[in-house]
Parts: sequence; C-alpha cells; structure tokens
Amino acid sequence: MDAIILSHLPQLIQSLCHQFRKSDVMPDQENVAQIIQRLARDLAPSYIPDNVDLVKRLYEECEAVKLARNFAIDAIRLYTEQVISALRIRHNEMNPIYRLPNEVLALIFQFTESSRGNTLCPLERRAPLNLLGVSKVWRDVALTTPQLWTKIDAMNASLKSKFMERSLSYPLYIDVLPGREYALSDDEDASELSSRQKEVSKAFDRQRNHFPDFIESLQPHAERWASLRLQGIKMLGSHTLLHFPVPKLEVLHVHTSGLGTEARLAANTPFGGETPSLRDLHLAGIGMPLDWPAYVGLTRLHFERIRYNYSTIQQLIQILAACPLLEALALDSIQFASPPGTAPSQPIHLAHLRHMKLNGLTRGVESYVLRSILFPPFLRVEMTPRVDGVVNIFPPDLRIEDTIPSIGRIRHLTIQDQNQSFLMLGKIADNDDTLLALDFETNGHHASTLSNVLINLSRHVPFAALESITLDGFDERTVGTTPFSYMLLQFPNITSLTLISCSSSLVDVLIISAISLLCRSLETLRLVNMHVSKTTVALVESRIRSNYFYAPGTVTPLRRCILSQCYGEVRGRVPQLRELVELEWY
Amino acid sequence: MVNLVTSDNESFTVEKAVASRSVLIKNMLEDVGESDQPIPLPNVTASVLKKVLEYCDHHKNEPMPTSEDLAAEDTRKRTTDIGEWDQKFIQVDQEMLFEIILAANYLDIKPLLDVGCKTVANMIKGKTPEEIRKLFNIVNDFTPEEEAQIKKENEWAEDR
Repeated sequence: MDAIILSHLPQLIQSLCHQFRKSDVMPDQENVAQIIQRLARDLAPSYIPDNVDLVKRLYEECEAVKLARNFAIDAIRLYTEQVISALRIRHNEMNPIYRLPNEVLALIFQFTESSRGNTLCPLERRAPLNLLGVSKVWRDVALTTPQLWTKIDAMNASLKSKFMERSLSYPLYIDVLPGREYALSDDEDASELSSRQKEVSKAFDRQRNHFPDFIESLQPHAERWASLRLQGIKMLGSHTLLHFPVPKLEVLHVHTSGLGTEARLAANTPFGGETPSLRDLHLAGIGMPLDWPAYVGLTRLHFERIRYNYSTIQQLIQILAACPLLEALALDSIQFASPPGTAPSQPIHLAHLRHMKLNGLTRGVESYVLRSILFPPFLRVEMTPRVDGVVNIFPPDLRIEDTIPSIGRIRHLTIQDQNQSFLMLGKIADNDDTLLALDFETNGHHASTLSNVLINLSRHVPFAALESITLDGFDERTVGTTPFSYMLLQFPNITSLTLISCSSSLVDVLIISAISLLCRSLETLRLVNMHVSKTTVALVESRIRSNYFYAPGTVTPLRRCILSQCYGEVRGRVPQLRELVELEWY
Repeated sequence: MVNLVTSDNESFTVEKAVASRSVLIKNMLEDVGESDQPIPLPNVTASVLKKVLEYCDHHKNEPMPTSEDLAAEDTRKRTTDIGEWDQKFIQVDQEMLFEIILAANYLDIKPLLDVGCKTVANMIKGKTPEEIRKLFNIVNDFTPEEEAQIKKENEWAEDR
C-alpha cells in the first residue's frame, strides 16, 4: 500500500495543482461538484470487476472499495496538509521577523513575558502561552526557552506542572498576589488596567483557600525557589509549614493585613533558618523575631506593622550591622515593647544605603535609628515624624551633617502646608530625586507644630548648600510672620525664593529696612497665585536700593521677578516692576 | 576616525568613540591597532548602518554596559521601558526594525539590541496568537493535528 500511495499520490496532487495553476480562475464549489460528478460517471464502469458473481464476493468487494476510499482520503488529507504546512513554513521564512535568529526571538519573548501587565493578561493573551500558538518556530523557541516558564502565580497555578517541566532547573519566581499588586505600563489605559486587576483579584479570591496547598506542592522544587511573594496568606510564623531550606531564595515578601505580633521561634523555624541567598526581605503584618537567622546579608529590608514584644531595637541595629550592603531600609509602623535606651556609642556604617523610609515609629525609635547609623551622602530619606517636631528626630547634640551627609547636599527645599499636615522636600536639582522628604501629620496642632518645626528645622538641620526655598500654601493664621522671619534668617545665602498661594503679609517681611534684612543674597523672587499690590513694588524696590540702609555689597540686588497666575493689581504694577528688575509675567 | 564599509559598498567615516559602541568593532580596532584600513561590515547595508550610527552617536558618552550589568539583566527585573529618545529613534517600519535588531546583534551593541527587542515585545504583549500573526503577517503553519493538540493544551483558557 505504501508503494502505491508513494508512487501515485504526490503525482496526483502535483498534477491537479498544475492544472489549477494553469487556469486563471480557481474552481468554485459548484464547478468542483460538477467535475467530480462527471468523473464519477466516466470512472464508475471501469471499477466493477468482471468475475463478481456471488453475493458474498460482491459484499466483500464493496467493503474493500470503502476501505480503499477511506485510506485514499486519509492519505490525501495527510499528504496535502503536510504540503500546505511546508508551504506556509516557507512563506513564514520569507517574513522579515523570521530573519531574526532564535536567540534574539527568545530575548524578545523574555521581554514580553517580563513586561509590566503581562501577569494581568487573560491566559490566552499572556506570554509565553500566547506565543505557543503563533507558528511552529515560535512554539519551538518558546518551549526551549526555560526562562519563560519560571514565573508561577495565582493565575497560572493550574498549569504549574507544565511550567515546572518547561523551566528545567531554572530559578522559580512564585507570586501569590491580588491584581492591584501588578501594574500596567504608563501608556496603558487606566480603565483596562482596573478591569484586568479586578479579574486577577477575583481569581485570587476564588483560589485563596488553595494557596497554602499550592505553595506546599512546590516544596519538591524548593531548591529552585528564587523569589516568593505572598499576600494575605499566613504561612510564616511559629507554626509555619515552610520549614524546609531554600538555598537560592533571594526575595521573600510576605504581606498580611493588621498588626503582626512577634512570635517566638519554634522548633520548625521558617525555612529551617537556611536562606543563605536572601537579599530582599519584606515583612508586613508578620512578626518574625529578630533572632531569625534570615536577617543576614540583605540589600533590601522592609518591616511594616509589627509589634516586637521580645526583640529590641538593639537587635534591629545588630541586624543592620549584619547587612553592610543594605541599599534600602523601610521601617513602617514598628513598635517595640521595651524602650529604646541609649544609642550605641559607635554607630554602624551603611555605606550603600540609598533609600531609607521611617514612618509611624514609636517615640524615640527614629532618633535611635538616626543615632545608630552613619549614612552615605547619596541617601534619600523619607520620614513621617511625630508632631512634637524635629527636635526629637534630630536631637540638638546629633551632628546631622555627619550622620546624614545627604542633607548637606540639598540645594532646593520645598515646604508645603497641606492643612492637616505639611511636607518638606529637599532636592539637589528640580528634576532630581528627592533626598529628604518629611511628612508631618499635625492634626489638631497644626499652627503651633508648623511654627515649631520651622524654627527647629532651620536651627538644627544644617542645609549648607541650600540655594532656593519654595513655600507653598503658607497662611499667616498658621505661620505667623515671626517664625517665618526666623526661619528665613537661618538661610541668609539663598538666591531664589518662591512663594505659592501664601498670605501677602509674608511678602511684607521680605522688604529690606533698617531693622529687617532677610535673604540678603536673593536674586530671584517668584510669586505664584499671590496678591500683587504696591507692597510688591516696595519689596522689589527695597531689594535693589538697599544701600539706603546698608553698605554696598551687603545685599545682592534682586535681579529677576517672576509673576505667575497672580491677582490683585497685577496689570497696574507690571510697568513699575519692569523698570526695576527683569520681569516675567504670565 | 574609523572607516566602515557596508555590504552595499558604502563608506562611513565616524569617530572612534561612536564606532566603539559596537563591541565587534571595538575588538577589531583593538586587534589591528592604529590603522587606516577600512572595516568591512558584510552583514549591514548602508541604510541600516546609518540608523545604527545615529544611535551610537547619541549614546557615545554613556558608559558601556559591564559584564555585571549584563548578568544582572538575567533577573526578573527586566522591563520593557524604553527611554524617550530611543522610542522616537526606533519608530521605523517593521522591515527596518528587524534590520536594526539584526545589525545590533551582529555588531554586538547590546543596548540597541534591547531597544529593538523591547519594541517588538511591546508590540506582542497582550495579544492573542491570531492577533500576533496578523501583526507580523505570519501564516498559521500548524497541521490540523498540531492545531488540535494546541487547542487541547489551551483548554485552561476556556476554564476561566
């Protein structure tokens, strides 16, 4: 049979193709039916054998013809499908994207798989699963790129075994997170993002009860775990099921709601205390004791909503000392049952720390942390200090310029009054990252706190390189002219001052007189959404004619005034101001 | 200055700092030392090299990626974010896009290879196989048996 098919079938198909190629018009269904009918008429007589005279033999002959027909149809179908597939492969090979070598295609696939939002896609649109159905080559490349199959999460949990098999021995990245933890890129539609996040969250909630079993089922591959991020699943603690070693685990994020109370280490220590590769640890609402052996050699450490009943802040500092390459530290709403005590006489040096966030800490803890560490000059500090002001955070006897040298590099300081809080942002340049962010919650004591902080900040924090200050939303009812003047008095060398939506009485204090000399180096004054009046002109005039009161050179003449979205007598005063300084008005 | 000769026999004279963004050319220059000999680039046409050199010129003062940078890229931190200038630069038709990727791969210019690959990745992401085929004019070359197998594999998609 093989010989018959091999000798006749390709010839049959090729001859027919040749005929179809020769005719200008491809036969439609109607024409094909007519041709087949005609062929059947012409061929039928020749198919009846001469010597069929018995009923039994007639029946056998019918069955043989049917088998021959089915065999021929199958052979034709298979053969033509292969020919068509081969032609399509040839077509694809001439496509520009097929010129890319497989390793480049694999790189593209890896970028697609790790792109933001991929996790939020429905599985049929999610890489690498969508890549499998594009073409043979894409399928082969996707299946032979193990890195594409290393991410296991709530959405693809049902395909876990396929991912395990295809990822070979590559490190695994395990996420059990709701949709809001994943973001799309900036250019993607917010409504689409929201609906996708909801879908993932729904799937997350549906499967929530199965997650502990799911995570446990991955235990046989524990030696491959590189990252484990869990949300809403209490799998760490005194009765953990995760008591096996994870030698390659680099990232561990565990996030549960509410305040986590410290539990003592039991016999089944999480991960058997064997996490030699751990670098990024984020615990929120999980009170793991500070003598857990995992706290060594970390580069990122985040503790959030934890009450330590047994461990002490001294142990926390010891942990930091065991992480000399620490790059990011966040202590958010951390409580210690025992009081901080006296800071160590020998502070530890965290030479690589780039970002530190201290938020909602118990009294004295911020100060203890600041006293216990020497920070590098590029550190970005983010703090939400308590309302009793900066004195407790930056105690007067603490040499801040030595402890946090990045403060000495701040050239631009912005202070925003936000009614129930105020925010201080310090930068090196306008478009640089913020080096210092202090967010003061002042509920109920706003005015007194703001004044107190302004006075203490300028007194205790040496902004040695400060060139410009922006004050936003300052109202004379919350910041009197006295603390305002006092603060400016501490910064005689600033060359630029911006007032945004402030009370006009604060402008008055800038007028140079025999008894008032603030910001003597001021060259640029920018007023945004401010009232403009004859006082504005008097201010500018006083700053360019200061030699009425002071020796030449004592005051730098104001060079530039910028009015933006101001109101009052703007139009009337613009000509007068133009005569005095370089004026920008819009 | 360095003289580069393309497959279509066009010469480009460029600063050494620009040409050296290509690790291939940099190594060639180091191997041959100071020489006026033109460097043949048989796998790159003039129109593509012009575009590649535009990229190299713009980024000539940036530090070259170190082996540590390249190793770090193997982590999950890989993103498809592309800088503003690079995004404008890579706004070309598909044919040219793939040519740039090929040239970057041949000339060993990893940052340009990444920009090209990220651009294609961004085109692919979130699409069904059919949409991807349409985007790149790829035809479905699976046999019906293979299609049936893929459909069976994809039953998860209908579960959701």
